[in-house]
Formats: sequence, structure tokens, C-alpha cells
Amino acid sequence: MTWRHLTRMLPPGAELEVVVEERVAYDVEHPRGGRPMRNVRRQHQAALTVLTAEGRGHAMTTDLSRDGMVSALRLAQCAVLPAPGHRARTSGTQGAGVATFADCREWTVEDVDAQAARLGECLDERLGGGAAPHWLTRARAIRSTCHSYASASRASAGPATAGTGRAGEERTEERTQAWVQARITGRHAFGVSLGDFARHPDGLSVTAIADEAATRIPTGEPWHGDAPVRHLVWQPEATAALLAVLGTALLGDRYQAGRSFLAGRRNKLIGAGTLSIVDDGRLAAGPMSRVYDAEGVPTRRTVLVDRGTLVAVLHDEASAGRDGATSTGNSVQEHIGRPRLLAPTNLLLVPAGEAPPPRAHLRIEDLRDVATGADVARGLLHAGFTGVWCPDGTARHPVTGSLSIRLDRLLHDIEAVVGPPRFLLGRAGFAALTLHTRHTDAVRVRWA
Amino acid sequence: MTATAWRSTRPPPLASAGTAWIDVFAEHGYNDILTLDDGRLRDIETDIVRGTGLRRLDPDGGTTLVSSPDPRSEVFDGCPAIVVDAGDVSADGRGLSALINRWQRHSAEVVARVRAIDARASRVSMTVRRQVRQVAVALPDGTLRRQARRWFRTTVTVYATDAAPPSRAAVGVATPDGGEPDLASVIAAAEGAAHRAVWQLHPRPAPDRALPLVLNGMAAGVLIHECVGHGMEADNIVDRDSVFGRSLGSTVALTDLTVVDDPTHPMSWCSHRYDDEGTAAVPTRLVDRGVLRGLLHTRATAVRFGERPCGNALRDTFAAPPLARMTTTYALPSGTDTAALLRSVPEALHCRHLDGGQVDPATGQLVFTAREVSCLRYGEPAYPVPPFPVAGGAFALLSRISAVGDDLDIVPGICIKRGQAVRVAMGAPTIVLDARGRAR
Repeated sequence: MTWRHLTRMLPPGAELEVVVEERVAYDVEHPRGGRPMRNVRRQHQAALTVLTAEGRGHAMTTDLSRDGMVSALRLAQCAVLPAPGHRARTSGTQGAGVATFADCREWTVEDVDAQAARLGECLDERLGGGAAPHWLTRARAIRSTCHSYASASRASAGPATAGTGRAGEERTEERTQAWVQARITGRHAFGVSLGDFARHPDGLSVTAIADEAATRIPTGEPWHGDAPVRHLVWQPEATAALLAVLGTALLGDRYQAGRSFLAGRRNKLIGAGTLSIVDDGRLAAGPMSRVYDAEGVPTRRTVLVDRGTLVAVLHDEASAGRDGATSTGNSVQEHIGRPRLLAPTNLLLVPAGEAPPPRAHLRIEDLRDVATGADVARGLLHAGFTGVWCPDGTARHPVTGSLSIRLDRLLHDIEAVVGPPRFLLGRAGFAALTLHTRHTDAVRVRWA
Repeated sequence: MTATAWRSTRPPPLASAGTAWIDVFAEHGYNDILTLDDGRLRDIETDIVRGTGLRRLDPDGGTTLVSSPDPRSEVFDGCPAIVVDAGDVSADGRGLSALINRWQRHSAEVVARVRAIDARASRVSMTVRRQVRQVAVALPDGTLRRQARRWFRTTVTVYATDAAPPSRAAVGVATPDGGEPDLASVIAAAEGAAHRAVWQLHPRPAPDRALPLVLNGMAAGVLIHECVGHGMEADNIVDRDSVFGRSLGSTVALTDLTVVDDPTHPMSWCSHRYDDEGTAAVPTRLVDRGVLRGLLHTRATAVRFGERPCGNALRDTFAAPPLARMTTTYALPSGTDTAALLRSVPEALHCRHLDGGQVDPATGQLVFTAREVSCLRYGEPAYPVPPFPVAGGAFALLSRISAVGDDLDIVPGICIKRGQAVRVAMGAPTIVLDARGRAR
């Protein structure tokens, strides 16, 4: 059955949008000295959206047979709700055809498995055997193809496709993603995660991760805040977690409703001159890159914070409509089995300032329970952390505890943002860099 | 409605020479999720789910899971026959329109009742989630276990506002048989949430001194779930560095604390006779009078530990590997009268809701956010207190339990582990944590 056959089942005046996504995902886990786990997932799913004069109805199915698609079409018709401003997904300025953020070279589960196993071997070499820390290496590779189709405009078509001139077109978007990650746990409740992202498993820098791991493991006894802390260094995993909270504060709908601590501060200074934040939906090396967002709007690069000044927020069509602005292409859908949300794509801190010379600092390796501990409206964040006290700039003493962070003040304490951005498994498009901040009352540390 | 390839009635034996274990999990079902704001339908999500997952033990001791919505997919090439009939679920006959109409009416009624309590209860958000599944598990000896599963859960969140920043309180309602909860029980739950949201509107700073922390059944259930349950999932221990694995047989709490996971609990919304590996479910005592005892197993971890699987292997979908999961996990009531216990405490912080607490099994560290907190004097609430973090090691928190009450309360919930969401229930009597090291 073709998509056009489904269109013929629609009542007069209705439009149909169909998206079929096919994915092959490989997940591999190698625990140190343990048994590997491999998961090969072949997935396909169809999302059907019916557009009528009353609004929009949406249904999904993994059953792509004729009966399955017809059932989904009927469900979508049952589920029609008012949805002003919705446009068909294939609409936009770049038209139909094939778009890609993909590496066309093939790979197999053995290739993915080899990267996780190789990372384990490199860690064995760098960190040694016996009483060395425990680790778990993971690799994931996904190849997805998304076919979109929107029915031709009819005489009585509603706002859904009116004026776009692109309805009736088919488009295919391909994407490949590959990650590798090591989670290392040591004595005294110490834990650290390192990883890399590429478009193909062969592009993952396994040896660099292992080299870095060797510099991150503390060798001393636990530290409980016995000396004053004047500087904090947020490692990439912790920075990505912070950025996830900041990304939420930069969403247009939250900004409009006053549910962001940044609300009302556009064109005002919100941080230090070293703070610049960019959302880039077309970053070549970004895991969340797409040519079009989930509403069919072309993605783009949006500067949100420019040298400390808030200059823009992120929009989908609904929030842009309320602001009299245009969408920034931030209607994000991780895959079609997930809901469409206004969200950042690839969110990056722009490197700025010089890395300070070696000095005593508290290194924050990892933040836990950030999502439940964040109060974005007030700019407060409670989170557990794992870290290292570095009295002379090198990793010495493991530290655990919790942090209470005043985000509005922390943004003014940034001294430098260092490194090329790195995207970690499980952190979506939040770019991990190293953040150097002064330690002020913006961050309250409780030692475990 | 069913593709021909699915209609085989019984699979052939799947084990082949040299294969230690191979099994198949197939499912067919649907999900309907309605979101209503102040009685108005805001969103409908509806989908049809169908697929097969085949799991194989590899020669290196590892495990490979291959899955596809299409049983004829090339990912199954080289594997034994995998056609398993999960049964049929009629998508058309599910009455989506009737469900929408019914819950729009219910929601309007709930909103009216909440507003009648206090005008400051300004917004009522409801989520209605219906899930129906036919699942089939085929074992290597040719055994086929078929089960029909259904779940229905309504969540009500009440927001209160006046001149102060808004506050909110949420509650979930589910029935043991997976049927729709009656309107009266949803209204009663929503009214309770409204009272709590309004009460929280003008919090005052907590006293600047260490106080005992009293957790009611819902909050104590979360504490038990996170501090004990996840640590006792055997796949968090095997092949991993785990403080729980190192502490089996140790005393971690007072003797009044006994924690059970019961997949067959008759009054729970997440009970089952067989798990997703086809193992018959039996209760497990995780903590026995303060001592860490039983583990929650999949078949694979049970073999590694030389124990019997207990029916705790669950998976989110056919595409996900079965993990050792909690089901209905709760602390048993002690002989101490809760009301008398609270009256004996001159001053304490009383928490009704704990958020977060995702434990790192390797380190045992976790952080909760205590919400819906009030300052309690001799068992009577004095004033509300803003949310605050409760952090530390799991065993350190358990060692702070100084008393366990007799008022067991079990609530439905969703638990996410390694990206897989499953239905759980959690509960406990009222628990008192002493004031040592309280983070505030």
C-alpha cells in the first residue's frame, strides 16, 4: 500500500502527513572482566497525522501492513484536536529530495562491538590490572532513514499546508550516529564517565579516551573540604548536565510564561563575557543535527547568549507565533516514537578565555539527579556530585557530596570555557566542554 | 488485522546444538495517552505496538538480543524459526472516542470539585494512560507462555497560585485489574492533592538546626525503592563493582525494617504470574530484619549466583533486553503505632514526596529532593517548608532510620532503568530518619 492510497480514505478537505522511520541500532556493553551484552534492534514505525479544518490528529504504529496503517489512520481521525499553526513536515524552503547527516560506509555489530572491546583493552593498558578501578564500556551506533510524505493540497485545505507550495512532496532524511563511552568507578565512591561521538564507529577516538582516563583517576584518600576551595573545574560530563538545565531555561515557551530564571532578561547581561551559547541544528559533528525539524522548519544556527548577553531564545512554531517571531527550527523529536517537543538541538558553549595555569581546585566530574533537582523558574539546582580535590592541579583525592547551585550567579563566575565540544552517550546534543569558574556563594558544596 | 506470518499457533523448539539458551518474546498491543488541562483535552497520543525479540547466549558467555517489528526481518537471518503468536489485540475495537469523551467528562468533574475546595487551586492537569498487551514468551524446550496484560493509570497534578510562587501536588490512581479507576477514587485523590498544593503556597524557612525527617508512606516507598531495591537487582551487581554486592549479609538498618518485593501482590497494579522470561513469579525478601538478603534475578543472573530466578525479569518492549526489576516493593509495617510515634517527636520535618534518588550502584550515592514538606510539632503540621535536598550514601540513609510505623501505604509508579520504563509499585509505613547529617 502506498501513502497515496491512504489519502484516498480521508474525508473531503482533510490532509494527511505520513512519516516512516526505519532504524538499525546496535548497543554493546563490556563490563571489565565480565560478559558482554549485544543488542541489535531493527525498528520501523509510522506516524500518521491527519489535518482537518478542526485541527490535527496523530497516531503511530509499528505495524506497517495495510491493516495496521488503516487502523492508525482511523485512530488519528479519532484524535483530532485544535492545533493552530501546524504545517506539514515536508514543507520548507529546501523542498523535497534526500538530505543527510550520515556516513554512507556500512558497519556491522562486530564493528561496534570491537570499539567497546578495544576501549576496554586500552583502559587495561593505561590503568593496569589487579586493584585498578572497575569499568564498563559501551558503544552505540544507529543508522536511521526517515521518509516523509504530505498529501497534495486540496481546494478546502486548512492552514496546514496553505501557502507552503510544497505539499504532495516526498522527502528522505538519513542520519548515522555512533558513540563510545567508559564509566569508571574507583575506591571511595569515585566515578567518572568519558566518551566520544562520530558519524561512524571507525571515527571514535578510543585511545584518546583511555589516555584521558589515566589522568582523571585520583589516587589519594577521600577529601572532606578541609581547605578553602577557590576554583571549580567542571569536567565535560558535568558541563553537559549544567547545559541541559540552561537549555531548558532558554526555551521560548518557558521564557514567555515566566517559568525561566532568564525571563524578561533579553538583551541584558546574564553572565560573564566568557559565556556564549549557541544552538546549532546543522552542526556536522552533532548528534541531534537534522535538515528539518519535526514541524518541517529548516534547522539553523541560533546564537542565544553572546559574550554574556542574552540575545535570543529557542522557538517552535507555537512559541514563535506567540512572540511574533519565526521558528528557530527547534521542534525536536528524537525519533518518531518519541513526542515532539520544543527543545535544543546541539547546544554548545563557545570556547572562550584561556585555561588557567595549574592551581588548587575542586574538579566536578559528574552531576546526578539534575532533572529532578532543577528549579528552572528560580534558577536553582540541587545535584549530587562526584569529584576530585586537586591541591596542585593534579587529581589526588576523591570527593562526593551534593551541590546547591544558583545558576544566575554561576553564569557570572565563568573564567574560561575550554576544549573542543564533545558529545556524550545519554546527553543528547548537550556539548561537553571543560568549564572553569570561581567558587563563590553561587555554589554551596556539602561533603559526603 | 493480523499478518499471516504471526498466526503459527506453537513455535518449534528453539534450542540448537551448542546453544546454551535462546528464547523469543513477542508482543502486540496498543497505548492511549490523554492529557487534559482544566478539563480541556490538550493532547492525545495513540499507537499500535507489535514486534519480536530473540535472545541468544553467545559462545563467549555474552548475550545477543535481536529484534524487529517484522518477524521476517533480515536481522533474524541465521537464527532458528522465530514465528510466535502473541495473540491479537483489536485496535479498532478499543473505543478510543468513547474513552476520550468519558475522561473529558470526568476531568470536568474533577476540576469543579478541586476548585470548590479552594479558589487558589488554579490549574488541574490530568494524564490518562491505557496500555493493553498480548505477550508470548517461547522457551528453549518449546514451552509457550501467553499472557494478556493491561494497565490503566490516571495522574492528577494540582497547581495552586496566589501572590506567592506556584506550588503543586500530584497523585496517581491505578487499579489492580488494569481497569479504569472509578470517578470517586480519582476525585478523592485530586482533592487530597489540592489540599496539599494550597498548604504549600507560603513556605517558611525550616529551623536552622538538624531535625528528624519523617517520611510518609509514599516518600518512604521511594526511599526504599532507591536505597534498597535498585541495589538488590542482581544485574546491577554481577560483573559490576557494587557496594550492595559487597554488603550482602550485612546489617544495614534497624531490625524493624523488612523489605519485600512481591510480583504477585494481589492489590498491586503491576502484578504478574510469569515474568518476561516466562519464569513463575515469587516474592523475595530483600532486607530481613535489617540484614541485606535476597536479590532480584533474571535467569542469567540467577545462574551466575547459583540461585533460583524469581520472576523479576522485565522489559520495556520486545526490542529491549530483560533486566532484573522491582515489581511491588515495600517495607513491612512494624508494631509501632504511627500516630503515637509522631506525637512523641517534639519537632521534625515531614515529607510527603521524594523526587530523584537515582542510585549509582557502584558507589551507592544518591540525591533526593524532598517536596511537600512541613514542619511537624508533636505530630501536628505547623507550617510548610520549601523543597530541600537529601543526599548521601544509600547505607548511610538506611542507618538513619530510627523508627518504622504501622500504616503501610503502597502507590503505583513508573521506574526507569537503563532507558527502560516499567510499572512498579512502592510503599512503606511512615519512617523516621534521625537528624544526623541532614542536608538542608
